[in-house]
Amino acid sequence: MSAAPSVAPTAETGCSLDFDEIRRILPHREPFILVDRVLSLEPRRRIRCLKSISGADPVFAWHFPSQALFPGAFLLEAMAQATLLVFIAGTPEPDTTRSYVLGRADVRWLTPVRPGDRVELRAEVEKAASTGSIVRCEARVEGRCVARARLIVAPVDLQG
Amino acid sequence: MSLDSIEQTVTSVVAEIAELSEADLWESREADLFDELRLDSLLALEIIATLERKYRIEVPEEQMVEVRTLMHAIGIVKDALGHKEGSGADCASGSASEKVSAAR
Repeated sequence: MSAAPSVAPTAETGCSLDFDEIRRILPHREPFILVDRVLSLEPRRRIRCLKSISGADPVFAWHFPSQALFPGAFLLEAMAQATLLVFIAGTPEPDTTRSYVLGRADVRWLTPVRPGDRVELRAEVEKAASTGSIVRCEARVEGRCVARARLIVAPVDLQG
Repeated sequence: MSLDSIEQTVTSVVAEIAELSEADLWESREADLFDELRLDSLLALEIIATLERKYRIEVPEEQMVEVRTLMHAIGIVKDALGHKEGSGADCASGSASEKVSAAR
Protein backbone atom coordinates (compact mmCIF):
# COMPACT_ATOMS: atom_id res chain seq x y z
CA MET A 1 0.00 0.00 0.00
CA SER A 2 1.63 3.17 -1.15
CA ALA A 3 -0.96 5.74 -0.21
CA ALA A 4 0.27 8.75 1.69
CA PRO A 5 -0.34 8.65 5.43
CA SER A 6 -3.84 9.69 6.28
CA VAL A 7 -4.50 12.46 8.72
CA ALA A 8 -7.25 11.50 11.12
CA PRO A 9 -8.83 14.30 13.11
CA THR A 10 -9.09 13.80 16.85
CA ALA A 11 -11.02 15.55 19.56
CA GLU A 12 -7.88 17.58 20.13
CA THR A 13 -6.48 20.10 17.77
CA GLY A 14 -4.43 18.46 15.05
CA CYS A 15 -4.23 14.86 13.90
CA SER A 16 -3.04 11.41 14.95
CA LEU A 17 -0.80 8.86 13.26
CA ASP A 18 -0.35 5.16 13.97
CA PHE A 19 2.95 3.28 13.82
CA ASP A 20 2.63 2.19 10.19
CA GLU A 21 2.03 5.78 9.15
CA ILE A 22 4.96 6.99 11.25
CA ARG A 23 7.19 4.32 9.68
CA ARG A 24 6.31 5.57 6.22
CA ILE A 25 7.21 9.13 7.13
CA LEU A 26 10.36 8.81 9.23
CA PRO A 27 13.62 8.04 7.42
CA HIS A 28 14.64 5.76 10.31
CA ARG A 29 14.16 1.99 10.39
CA GLU A 30 13.52 -0.56 13.13
CA PRO A 31 14.72 -0.98 15.75
CA PHE A 32 15.51 2.73 15.75
CA ILE A 33 12.00 4.10 15.29
CA LEU A 34 11.34 5.48 18.76
CA VAL A 35 7.84 6.90 18.32
CA ASP A 36 4.93 4.46 18.42
CA ARG A 37 2.02 6.80 17.92
CA VAL A 38 1.24 10.45 17.31
CA LEU A 39 -1.54 11.50 19.66
CA SER A 40 -1.98 15.03 18.33
CA LEU A 41 -0.18 17.21 15.85
CA GLU A 42 -0.26 20.79 14.75
CA PRO A 43 2.19 20.80 11.83
CA ARG A 44 5.23 23.02 12.39
CA ARG A 45 3.91 24.02 15.84
CA ARG A 46 3.54 21.19 18.37
CA ILE A 47 3.11 17.46 18.75
CA ARG A 48 2.30 14.81 21.36
CA CYS A 49 3.53 11.28 20.80
CA LEU A 50 3.63 7.98 22.64
CA LYS A 51 6.54 5.61 23.09
CA SER A 52 5.88 2.37 24.98
CA ILE A 53 8.96 0.86 26.57
CA SER A 54 9.03 -2.92 26.18
CA GLY A 55 11.30 -5.26 28.09
CA ALA A 56 11.66 -7.19 24.82
CA ASP A 57 13.51 -4.23 23.24
CA PRO A 58 16.98 -5.53 22.31
CA VAL A 59 18.57 -2.49 23.95
CA PHE A 60 17.91 -4.01 27.37
CA ALA A 61 20.20 -6.94 26.59
CA TRP A 62 23.10 -4.57 27.14
CA HIS A 63 21.69 -1.56 28.97
CA PHE A 64 22.05 -3.07 31.48
CA PRO A 65 22.17 -6.85 31.89
CA SER A 66 21.51 -6.57 35.60
CA GLN A 67 19.12 -3.58 35.53
CA ALA A 68 16.98 -2.56 32.57
CA LEU A 69 17.19 1.19 32.00
CA PHE A 70 16.09 2.85 28.77
CA PRO A 71 19.20 4.74 27.57
CA GLY A 72 19.03 8.49 28.00
CA ALA A 73 20.49 8.88 24.51
CA PHE A 74 17.52 6.92 23.13
CA LEU A 75 15.11 9.13 25.05
CA LEU A 76 16.79 12.15 23.49
CA GLU A 77 16.50 10.49 20.08
CA ALA A 78 12.80 9.84 20.72
CA MET A 79 12.30 13.56 21.42
CA ALA A 80 14.28 14.34 18.26
CA GLN A 81 12.07 12.01 16.20
CA ALA A 82 8.96 13.67 17.64
CA THR A 83 10.52 16.97 16.60
CA LEU A 84 11.13 15.64 13.11
CA LEU A 85 7.48 14.61 12.85
CA VAL A 86 6.39 18.14 13.71
CA PHE A 87 8.05 19.34 10.53
CA ILE A 88 7.46 16.52 8.05
CA ALA A 89 4.14 14.93 9.10
CA GLY A 90 0.59 16.15 8.93
CA THR A 91 0.51 17.13 5.29
CA PRO A 92 -1.24 15.13 2.53
CA GLU A 93 2.11 14.40 0.88
CA PRO A 94 4.89 14.42 3.50
CA ASP A 95 8.26 15.43 2.10
CA THR A 96 10.40 12.34 2.73
CA THR A 97 13.34 13.75 0.77
CA ARG A 98 14.08 16.22 3.53
CA SER A 99 14.97 15.56 7.13
CA TYR A 100 16.42 17.38 10.11
CA VAL A 101 19.53 16.62 12.14
CA LEU A 102 20.44 17.74 15.62
CA GLY A 103 22.79 20.67 15.76
CA ARG A 104 22.64 21.22 19.49
CA ALA A 105 20.82 19.70 22.43
CA ASP A 106 20.49 21.04 25.93
CA VAL A 107 18.96 18.10 27.74
CA ARG A 108 18.11 17.13 31.30
CA TRP A 109 17.36 13.55 32.25
CA LEU A 110 15.36 13.66 35.46
CA THR A 111 14.09 10.15 36.17
CA PRO A 112 15.09 6.71 34.81
CA VAL A 113 12.77 5.15 32.25
CA ARG A 114 12.19 1.40 32.52
CA PRO A 115 10.30 -1.39 30.74
CA GLY A 116 6.57 -0.96 31.22
CA ASP A 117 6.70 2.82 31.08
CA ARG A 118 4.55 4.65 28.56
CA VAL A 119 6.44 7.77 27.63
CA GLU A 120 4.52 10.77 26.34
CA LEU A 121 6.74 12.89 24.13
CA ARG A 122 5.87 16.54 23.68
CA ALA A 123 7.59 18.95 21.32
CA GLU A 124 6.77 22.59 20.68
CA VAL A 125 8.47 24.79 18.11
CA GLU A 126 10.00 27.88 19.70
CA LYS A 127 11.38 29.38 16.49
CA ALA A 128 11.40 28.11 12.93
CA ALA A 129 13.56 29.40 10.11
CA SER A 130 14.83 28.02 6.83
CA THR A 131 18.31 27.58 8.29
CA GLY A 132 17.14 25.67 11.35
CA SER A 133 14.64 25.54 14.16
CA ILE A 134 14.55 25.57 17.94
CA VAL A 135 12.20 23.13 19.63
CA ARG A 136 11.37 22.56 23.29
CA CYS A 137 10.68 18.96 24.23
CA GLU A 138 9.47 17.03 27.24
CA ALA A 139 9.17 13.33 28.00
CA ARG A 140 6.58 12.37 30.60
CA VAL A 141 5.64 9.13 32.32
CA GLU A 142 2.27 9.12 34.09
CA GLY A 143 2.26 12.89 33.97
CA ARG A 144 5.68 13.23 35.53
CA CYS A 145 8.45 14.89 33.53
CA VAL A 146 11.32 12.40 33.11
CA ALA A 147 13.39 14.44 30.64
CA ARG A 148 13.32 17.80 28.94
CA ALA A 149 15.37 19.22 26.12
CA ARG A 150 15.83 22.26 23.96
CA LEU A 151 16.89 21.11 20.52
CA ILE A 152 18.30 23.05 17.62
CA VAL A 153 17.81 21.17 14.37
CA ALA A 154 18.99 21.86 10.84
CA PRO A 155 17.37 20.70 7.62
CA VAL A 156 19.24 18.22 5.42
CA ASP A 157 18.51 16.88 1.95
CA LEU A 158 18.34 13.07 2.14
CA GLN A 159 18.85 12.77 -1.59
CA GLY A 160 21.95 14.96 -1.65
CA MET B 1 34.68 50.65 26.81
CA SER B 2 31.47 52.42 27.65
CA LEU B 3 28.35 50.45 26.80
CA ASP B 4 24.70 51.15 27.34
CA SER B 5 22.59 48.38 28.80
CA ILE B 6 21.36 47.00 25.47
CA GLU B 7 24.88 46.91 24.05
CA GLN B 8 26.06 45.20 27.22
CA THR B 9 23.29 42.63 27.24
CA VAL B 10 23.46 41.77 23.55
CA THR B 11 27.24 41.49 23.75
CA SER B 12 26.88 39.18 26.72
CA VAL B 13 24.30 36.99 24.94
CA VAL B 14 26.37 36.69 21.76
CA ALA B 15 29.58 36.06 23.70
CA GLU B 16 28.03 33.29 25.76
CA ILE B 17 26.47 31.47 22.82
CA ALA B 18 29.51 31.94 20.59
CA GLU B 19 31.86 31.04 23.46
CA LEU B 20 33.88 34.23 23.05
CA SER B 21 35.06 36.68 25.68
CA GLU B 22 32.89 39.78 25.90
CA ALA B 23 35.92 42.06 25.66
CA ASP B 24 37.24 40.35 22.54
CA LEU B 25 33.81 40.33 20.95
CA TRP B 26 33.27 44.03 21.62
CA GLU B 27 36.68 44.78 20.11
CA SER B 28 35.49 42.87 17.02
CA ARG B 29 32.00 44.36 17.02
CA GLU B 30 32.18 45.27 13.33
CA ALA B 31 33.71 41.94 12.33
CA ASP B 32 31.67 39.46 10.31
CA LEU B 33 30.27 36.93 12.77
CA PHE B 34 30.38 34.12 10.24
CA ASP B 35 33.52 34.73 8.19
CA GLU B 36 35.73 36.17 10.91
CA LEU B 37 34.31 34.89 14.21
CA ARG B 38 33.37 31.42 12.94
CA LEU B 39 29.72 31.40 13.93
CA ASP B 40 27.39 29.14 12.00
CA SER B 41 23.73 29.54 11.07
CA LEU B 42 22.47 27.51 14.05
CA LEU B 43 24.40 29.64 16.54
CA ALA B 44 23.01 32.73 14.84
CA LEU B 45 19.52 31.29 15.16
CA GLU B 46 20.07 30.67 18.85
CA ILE B 47 21.35 34.21 19.35
CA ILE B 48 18.30 35.72 17.66
CA ALA B 49 15.91 33.45 19.56
CA THR B 50 17.56 34.34 22.87
CA LEU B 51 17.33 38.07 22.11
CA GLU B 52 13.69 37.69 21.05
CA ARG B 53 12.85 35.98 24.33
CA LYS B 54 14.86 38.37 26.48
CA TYR B 55 13.44 41.53 24.91
CA ARG B 56 10.02 40.18 23.85
CA ILE B 57 10.61 41.17 20.26
CA GLU B 58 10.21 39.31 16.97
CA VAL B 59 12.86 39.30 14.27
CA PRO B 60 11.49 38.10 10.92
CA GLU B 61 13.57 35.62 8.98
CA GLU B 62 14.38 38.00 6.16
CA GLN B 63 16.01 40.22 8.73
CA MET B 64 17.86 37.41 10.50
CA VAL B 65 20.07 36.86 7.46
CA GLU B 66 21.09 40.51 7.54
CA VAL B 67 22.66 40.16 10.98
CA ARG B 68 26.32 39.87 10.11
CA THR B 69 27.99 41.71 12.99
CA LEU B 70 27.50 42.30 16.69
CA MET B 71 26.50 45.89 15.93
CA HIS B 72 23.80 44.65 13.55
CA ALA B 73 22.38 42.55 16.37
CA ILE B 74 22.47 45.47 18.77
CA GLY B 75 20.84 47.71 16.19
CA ILE B 76 18.02 45.26 15.57
CA VAL B 77 17.21 45.10 19.27
CA LYS B 78 17.34 48.87 19.65
CA ASP B 79 15.13 49.41 16.64
CA ALA B 80 12.62 46.85 17.83
CA LEU B 81 12.47 48.55 21.20
CA GLY B 82 12.18 51.99 19.64
CA HIS B 83 15.65 53.20 20.66
CA LYS B 84 16.88 55.25 17.75
CA GLU B 85 19.73 57.00 19.51
CA GLY B 86 23.11 55.52 20.35
CA SER B 87 25.92 53.85 18.46
CA GLY B 88 24.09 50.55 17.99
CA ALA B 89 21.16 52.20 16.23
CA ASP B 90 23.53 54.04 13.92
CA CYS B 91 25.16 50.81 12.86
CA ALA B 92 21.85 49.15 12.18
CA SER B 93 20.61 51.84 9.87
CA GLY B 94 19.41 51.00 6.41
CA SER B 95 17.51 47.93 5.30
CA ALA B 96 18.26 45.97 8.44
CA SER B 97 16.43 48.46 10.59
CA GLU B 98 13.51 49.10 8.31
CA LYS B 99 11.75 45.77 8.61
CA VAL B 100 11.90 45.11 12.31
CA SER B 101 8.61 44.25 13.86
CA ALA B 102 8.13 44.46 17.56
CA ALA B 103 5.73 42.03 19.20
CA ARG B 104 4.96 43.54 22.54
